[in-house]
Amino acid sequence: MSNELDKLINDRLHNYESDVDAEAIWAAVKPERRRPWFLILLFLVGISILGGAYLLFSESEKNGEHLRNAYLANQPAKKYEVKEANLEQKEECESIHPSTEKKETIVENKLTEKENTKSLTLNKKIADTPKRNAKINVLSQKNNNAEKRLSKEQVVTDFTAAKNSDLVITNKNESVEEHQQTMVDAVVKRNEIVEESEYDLRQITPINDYLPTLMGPISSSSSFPKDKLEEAADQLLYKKDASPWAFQVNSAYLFINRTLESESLDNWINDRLATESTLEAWSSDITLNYAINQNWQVRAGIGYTHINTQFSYDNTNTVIDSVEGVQAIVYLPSNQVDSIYGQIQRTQTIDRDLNIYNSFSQWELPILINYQARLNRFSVIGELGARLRIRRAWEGKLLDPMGEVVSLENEDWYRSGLGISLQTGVHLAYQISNQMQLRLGGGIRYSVNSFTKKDAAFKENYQLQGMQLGILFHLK
Amino acid sequence: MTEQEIILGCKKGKAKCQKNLVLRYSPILMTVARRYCRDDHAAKDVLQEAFIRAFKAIKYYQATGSFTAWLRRIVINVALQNRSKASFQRECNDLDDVTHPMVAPQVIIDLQTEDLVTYIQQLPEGMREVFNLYVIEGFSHNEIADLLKMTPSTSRSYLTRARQKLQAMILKQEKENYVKRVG
Repeated sequence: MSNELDKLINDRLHNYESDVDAEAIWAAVKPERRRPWFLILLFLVGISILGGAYLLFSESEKNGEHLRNAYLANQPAKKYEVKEANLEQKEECESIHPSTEKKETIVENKLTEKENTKSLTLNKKIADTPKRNAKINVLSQKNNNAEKRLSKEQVVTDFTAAKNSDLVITNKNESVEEHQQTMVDAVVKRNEIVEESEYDLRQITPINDYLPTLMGPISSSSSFPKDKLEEAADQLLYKKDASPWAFQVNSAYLFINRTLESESLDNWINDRLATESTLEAWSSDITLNYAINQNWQVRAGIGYTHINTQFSYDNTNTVIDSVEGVQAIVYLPSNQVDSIYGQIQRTQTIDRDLNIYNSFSQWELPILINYQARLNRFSVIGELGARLRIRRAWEGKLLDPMGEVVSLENEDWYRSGLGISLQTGVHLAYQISNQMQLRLGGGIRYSVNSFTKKDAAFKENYQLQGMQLGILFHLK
Repeated sequence: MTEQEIILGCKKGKAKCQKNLVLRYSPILMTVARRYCRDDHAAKDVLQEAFIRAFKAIKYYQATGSFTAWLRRIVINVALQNRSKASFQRECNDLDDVTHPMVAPQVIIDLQTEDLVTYIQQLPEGMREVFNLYVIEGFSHNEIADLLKMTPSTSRSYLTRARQKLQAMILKQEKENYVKRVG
C-alpha cells in the first residue's frame, strides 16, 4: 500500500460518522445524580459516631460536674490549702534566690495575693466556720506583708544598681531573715488549721482522682462508700433505666467457602473450578435492637452482602483452512486492476484472554438474638439468628456446558427471590459510654439452600465466615 | 447550541450541554472508537468511557486547538488504555500466510466506508493500533513507539504487516464480489 492509498483511507475515515444510537450513549454516560448507597451508609455511620461522641462527652462532663459540686460542698478548705501552698512556694523561692528577678517575684506575689483574695471569697461562700476565714485572713495579711518586704527589697536592688554594695548586702540579709520568719509562721498557721479542722484535710483526694474511679477500680484513698460508687459507675456505664431500644451498624469482611457440584456434568464442573476462583465477601447491616433484659437482646434490620469471585480464561484456537484468494494482480492498460484467483491457505489464530470479576449481591433482613455477659466495661456476646434474603442479583461471565463463555446476566441458573441463611458468631464488646458500645468479633453464615435453582444442572453454594465490626447506640 | 456554548455549559456541569455534546459528537467519535476496537460492542464501551472522562476533564480544556481533535484524543487514549486493565478481555485474531498483492487506488475508492472500518477492526490488535495512529491520526513512528511502549522499528514492521493484511482482506472481498457478479 502506497502513501497514496494511506491518504485515500485517511480521507475516507477521518471525518466519517458511524451510525450510532447517541441517545443510548447519553443514557449510559449521564452523570449519576443519585448518591450511591454506600455513601449514604457512610454518612449514617459518620453521623452515628459523631452523635455517640457528643453523648459520650456530654455525659462525662455532666458526671464530673455533679461530683465536683458534691466535693466542693463537703470540702470547704481545699482552696485555702492550695493557695497557702502557693504562697509558701513563692516565699521559699525568694529565700533561696533573694537577689534574682525581683521584679518578677513582686508581680507573682501580687498575683498570689489576688488569688488568695479570690480563694478567700470562694471559701467565704463555701466554708461553714468563721474561724477558718479568720485564719485565712491572717495568712492573706502575711502575704501582703511579704509583698511589702519584697518591695523594700526592690528598692534595695535598685540602689545596688547605683553601686552602693555594702548597704545592699545588709538589706538583703535582713530581707532573707524576714522571709524565713514569714515562711515559718505560715507553716505553723497551716498546721493549726489542719489540726483544728473537723475534716481530715490530709486525706482529701483532689477532684480529678475521683473521675477514674467511675471507669475502673475504686481508689482505696476515697472517702466515698465503695459499694455506692460501684453501683453509680455501673449505672452510668450501662444506664439501667435507659430505653431498651438501640440501633446497631455492622460491617463484616468475610471469607468464602464455595461448593460446586453436578451429578451429570463433571467435565463442566472441572472446567469451571479451573477457571473460577473465590475472592472475598463483605457485608453491612443496620439493625434495631431491643433489650429483653440485662443479658438478652433481639435485633432486626436491613443488610447487604456482596460476594466476589473471579473468572480467568485463556484460550488459543488455531484454524487452518484453504480458501480461494488473490494470487496475482493484473494492471490493465485502461488503468483498471484485475486479480487472478486461486486456492490459498489461510491460518486463523484466535487468542482469547479473559479476566472477569463476577459477583453476587444480596439484600437481606437479619433477625438475630444476642446473649451478653458483662465484665466491667467489656462484654462477651453470643449471637444466633437468620438472614432472610429478599433479593439477589449477579453479574459476570463463566463457561457454559459447551465450553463457551457466557454472561451470567443472560442465564437463568440462580435463585433471585426469597431465601434464608443462618448466622452465628461471638463478639467482644467494649462499652465506650453509657450509650455507645463497640463490638468486634467473628461469625459464620450458612446458606441453607443452594444458590442455584432446583432445575439447574449444577448446585452451587457459598458459606461465609469472617470478622465483624459494629457500633451499638442506645436510644435515650 | 454552538460548540462554544456546549463547552461552557459542560464546564459548568450542565446536563443539557453534556447531552448536546454526546448527541453531536457520538457519530464521529464512534468511528474513531470502532477503528481501535475489535468490534462495535467494545467500541461502544470505549466511547462511553471517553465521554465520562471528557465530562471530568473539560474544565481543563483550553480552546487552543480543535475541540473535536481533543475529544478524538480522549477516545484514542481510552481505547489504548483499555488493553491493560486489570479486568480485561482480549482477543487476537491473526491471519498468517496470506498473499500480499498491491491494491489499486480505485479499489479503495470503490470500497464502502463501512467495509473499510470492518477490515480495520479485523486487523490484529497491535497492527490495528499502529495503522490507525500512523495512517489516520498522523503520528510518527517515534510517537507511536512512545505511546504503545514499543520500538520505532516494531512500529514500522507492524505498519507494513497491517497494510499487507488489509490489502489481502480487501482483495478477498473483491474476489467474492467478483464471483457474485459473474455468478
